[in-house]
Amino acid sequence: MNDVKCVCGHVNPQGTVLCEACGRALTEDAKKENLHDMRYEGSARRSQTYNKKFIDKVWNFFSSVKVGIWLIVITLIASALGTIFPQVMYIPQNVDPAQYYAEQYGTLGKIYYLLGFHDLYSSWWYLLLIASIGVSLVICSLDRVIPLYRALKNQRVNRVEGFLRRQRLYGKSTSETADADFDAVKKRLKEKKYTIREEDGNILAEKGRFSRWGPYVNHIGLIIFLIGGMLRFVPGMYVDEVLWLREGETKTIPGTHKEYVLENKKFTMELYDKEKDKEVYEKALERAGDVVKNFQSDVVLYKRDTTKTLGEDDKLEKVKEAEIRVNEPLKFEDFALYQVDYKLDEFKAMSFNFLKKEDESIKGELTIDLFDPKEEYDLGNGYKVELLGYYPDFKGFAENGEPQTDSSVPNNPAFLFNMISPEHPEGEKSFTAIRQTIEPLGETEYKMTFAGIETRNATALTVRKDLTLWILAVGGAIFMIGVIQGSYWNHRRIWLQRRGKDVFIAAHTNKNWHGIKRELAQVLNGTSIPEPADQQDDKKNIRNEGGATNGGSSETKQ
Amino acid sequence: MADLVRLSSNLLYTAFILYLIATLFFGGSIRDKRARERGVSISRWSAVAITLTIVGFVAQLGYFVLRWIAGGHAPVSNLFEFTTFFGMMLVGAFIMIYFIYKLNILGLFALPVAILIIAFASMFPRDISPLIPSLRSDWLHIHVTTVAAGQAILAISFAAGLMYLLKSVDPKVKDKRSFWLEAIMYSLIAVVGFILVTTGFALSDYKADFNWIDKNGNQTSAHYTMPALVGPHKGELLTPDRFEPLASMPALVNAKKLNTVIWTLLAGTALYWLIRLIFRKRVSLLLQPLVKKVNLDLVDEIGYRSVLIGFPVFT
Ligand code: HEM
Repeated sequence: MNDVKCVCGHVNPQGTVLCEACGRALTEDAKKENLHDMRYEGSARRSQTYNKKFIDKVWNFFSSVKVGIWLIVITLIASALGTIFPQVMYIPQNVDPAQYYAEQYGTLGKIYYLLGFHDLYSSWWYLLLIASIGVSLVICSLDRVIPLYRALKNQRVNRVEGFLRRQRLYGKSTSETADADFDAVKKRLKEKKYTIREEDGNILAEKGRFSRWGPYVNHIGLIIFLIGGMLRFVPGMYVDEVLWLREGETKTIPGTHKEYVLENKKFTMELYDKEKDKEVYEKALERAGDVVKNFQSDVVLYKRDTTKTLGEDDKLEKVKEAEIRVNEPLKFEDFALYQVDYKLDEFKAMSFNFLKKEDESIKGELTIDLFDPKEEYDLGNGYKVELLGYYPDFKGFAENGEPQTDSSVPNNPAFLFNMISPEHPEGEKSFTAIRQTIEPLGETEYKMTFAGIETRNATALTVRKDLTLWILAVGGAIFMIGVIQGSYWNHRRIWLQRRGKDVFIAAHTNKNWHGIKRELAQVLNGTSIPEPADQQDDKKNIRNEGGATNGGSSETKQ
Repeated sequence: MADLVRLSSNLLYTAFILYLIATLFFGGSIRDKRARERGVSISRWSAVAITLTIVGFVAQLGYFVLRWIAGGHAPVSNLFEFTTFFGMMLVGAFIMIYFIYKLNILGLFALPVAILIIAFASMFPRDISPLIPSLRSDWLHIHVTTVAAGQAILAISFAAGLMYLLKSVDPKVKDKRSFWLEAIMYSLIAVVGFILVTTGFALSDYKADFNWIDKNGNQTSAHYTMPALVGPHKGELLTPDRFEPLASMPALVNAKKLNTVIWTLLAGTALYWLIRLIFRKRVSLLLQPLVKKVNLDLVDEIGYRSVLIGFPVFT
C-alpha cells in the first residue's frame, strides 16, 4: 500500500532509498548525496522504516550494530570481573560460599557474591546478556539480509546516470569506437569470470555476489555455537566433576547417576632418569632437577546394578581395568576420566609403642587407622589405650585449651590418649602429636612413642562428559565457511553504458578497491574507454610515481 | 647425538647472521634510486636481500629438523624453542608475502623484529628438555606450530598496518592521531627496552632471593632476576650484596612482575628520550622517510591479505 513506485515502473517496498531496478534516488537526501551509500544497496530496512508499535521499537533496538557491540563489550567486562576472585568451583568444598567470599575478600567479596559473579556462567543476568547477543545477531542479520537479497535479485542492467555518477569509481567519455571497445571489454570480463548481462547494448558485469552472504552464513554458525554453549546447562548434556581417590579406595563416579564406580589400585609419579633416558636431556635435567615423566592411575571400573537398592555394593560388576595417564583418559559410554591432580604419601595409619619411661620396656604396640580410629585398643596383660580425642589436622590449641583441627584430612594427626596399665587402672593422660608430647595432668609413668607410619598416594580425576561438542564443531565449521566466503571473495560490479557517443563506466566493490582498480586497468587497456576515477581518493594518499616499492599497478592516475 | 645438537645450534646462529645482513641489503634497496628510475621492481640489492633471507630461513629450518631428530619431539616445547620457531615463521610469512607483492620496505620492518625475537629467545635455557606429561600429545605438534605460524602471518599484517599509519598520519600536525601514533612508537620502543633489560641482567647473571609473607600469612620465597625496585610483602633479602628494594608491596600485588614492568617502562622511556634528543624529532617523523614511496592501497591490501591467510591457520 505504501510501496514506492519509481518512474521506471518498478514498485519498491516502503522505505527504499535507491530504486531496486534502475538505481534512481527516491529520497530527497539521496538525491543530494555526492556518493551513494551502497552498503545495503539503498534497500528498505525494516528498522529504518517502522517505529510505531512496541514490536518495532524492540526490533529497532536489537537491529542496531551499535547495541550489539555494546552488549558484547558489557559481556566482556563482566567476564573479566568474574576473574577477580575465584569462581565458586575453586573455593574449598566444605564452606558456605556466602560466608567464604565475605570473609576472604571483605565487602567487595560480599558484593561479588550477591551479584552472582562467583558463579558467573550460571548467573541469570549473564545468561540474559548472552541471549541478547544472540537475539541482536539474528535481528541485525535479518534486518539487512532480506532487503539486500531483494535488491540484488531485482537489479536491472540499465541504471540512471545519477546512479552511475554517484558510484565511487566513475568515468564519462565520448567514443567513436564504442562497439568494438564494448566487445573487447566484454570478452576480457568473461575471461575474468564475470557474469555478463546485457540490455539495449549496455553491460552489467558482476562476480562474487555470493560473498555478500558470507557474514550471514558466519552468523548462523555463531548462533549454532551459542546454542551449543547454552546446552551445557541442560541436565545430561555436560558433566565436569572431580573425583579424588586414595589408593585402595572405591567410590561412585559423580555425574553418572550412581551407575559407575571406580577403584584406585595404585597411583604412580615417574621422573625422568639421567641414566636411563635420552642423554641429550642430561643438561636440562641437571639444571631443572626433577622433571616428571608420567602421572598414572591404575584403576578398575565397575558398573552398579541400579535396579537393586543402594548399599548393596557386592552387586558391582567389573567392566574393565585401565591405566589413566595425562592425555590418555579412560573412556566409557559418553564419559572420560582424565588425570588431573595427585597427592603423594598421604598418612594412612600410625603405629605407637606403649612404653614404660623408667626402663624403656615396651608393653605393647598399636596401629591407628587414621581414617577409622577405634575408641580403645586392648594390648593385653592389663595394658589398654583409650583414644579420648583425635585431631586429624591439628593446628594448635584454642584459648580454652581445646586442641583444634583444620580439616578431617590427616595432614598432621594428633591424639589424646588415656594409657591404662596395671599400676594406673584409671589411666594416665597424654597428648601426642608429631614431634610433640604434652602431659596435661602432670607427669606420667608411661608414654606413647611413635613407631611408624604407613602412607599411600591419592589421585584426582576429572569426570567429563560433553554432548555439546559436535554442535560446537558444526557451528564453528559453518562460522569458518562464512568468514572465508565473505573475506576471500569480493562482490564486484561494473556498469558500462552508452547514450549516443557518450560512454559511462562505473564500478562498485564491497571491498579491496585496489583489486578492482587493477582489474579495470587490465580490462580497459588499449580501448578508448578511460579508467574510471576514484571519487573518494584520500587526499593524504600522495600518489605513487611508480618504482620499486610499488607492485606496478597504480600508475593509473596522476 | 651431541654432534647433531651442536650442528643444529650452529645453523640457528648462521640464520641469525644471515637475517642481519639481509636487513642491511633491504635497507640499501629502498635507497637504490637507479632501479626505481629504470622502473624494475626487484633491484640487485633486493635480489641479494631476499636470497640471503631465504638461505637464512633454510638454515633455520635445518636447526629445527635436526633438533627434532636429536630431541625426539618437535622443538616447540619450551620458551626458547617456541620463540625461535615464532621468529622462523615470521621470516617464512614475510618471504611468502614478499613474493606476492615484492615490497622491499616490508623486509625492513619484519626482519629486525625476527632478529630481536630470536635474540630474545636465546636468553632462555637452551638445553633440549624432556617433555612433561601434558605436552606428551600429538596436539603439541599441531597446536603450538599452528599458533606460532598463524601469529607470525598476522604479525605481517601488523607491520603493514604500521606502515599505513606512518604514511597516512601527518606527525607534524599536533592532533589526536599523531599523538597516538607516537604512543605506538613509544610502546614498540618499550618492548625493545624490555628485551634490553632482561637480556642485560640475564647476561650479568643477576639473582636475588627473598623470603616473603603471602596473603594467607604463609612464608614463601621469590627469585628475582633483576634488581628489585619494588620488593614483595614483608620481603627479606637473602642474597648478600644485592639491591635493597625501594618499596615493599602489599601481599595482593605480584611484586616480581610489577618490578619487571617498572624496569621495562624505565628502560623504554630512557631509550625513547635518547632517540628524541639525538634526532630532535618525534620517532614517527623519523621513520616517515622510509614509507615515503609506499602506496596506501597496497599496504592496506597486504594487511588484509595477511589476515586472510593467517586467520584460518591460527583458528
Ligand atoms: C597465542 C598463542 C596460544 C593460544 C591462543 C593458545 C590457546 C590455547 C587454548 C584456548 C587452550 C585450551 C585451554 C583449556 O581450555 O584448557 C590451550 C591449551 C594448551 N596450550 Fe595453548 N595457546 C597458545 C600457545 C601455546 C604455546 C606456545 C604452548 C606451549 C609451548 C601451548 C601449550 C598448551 C598446552 C600444553 C595446553 C593444554 C593445557 C592443559 O589443559 O593441560 N599453547 N591453548
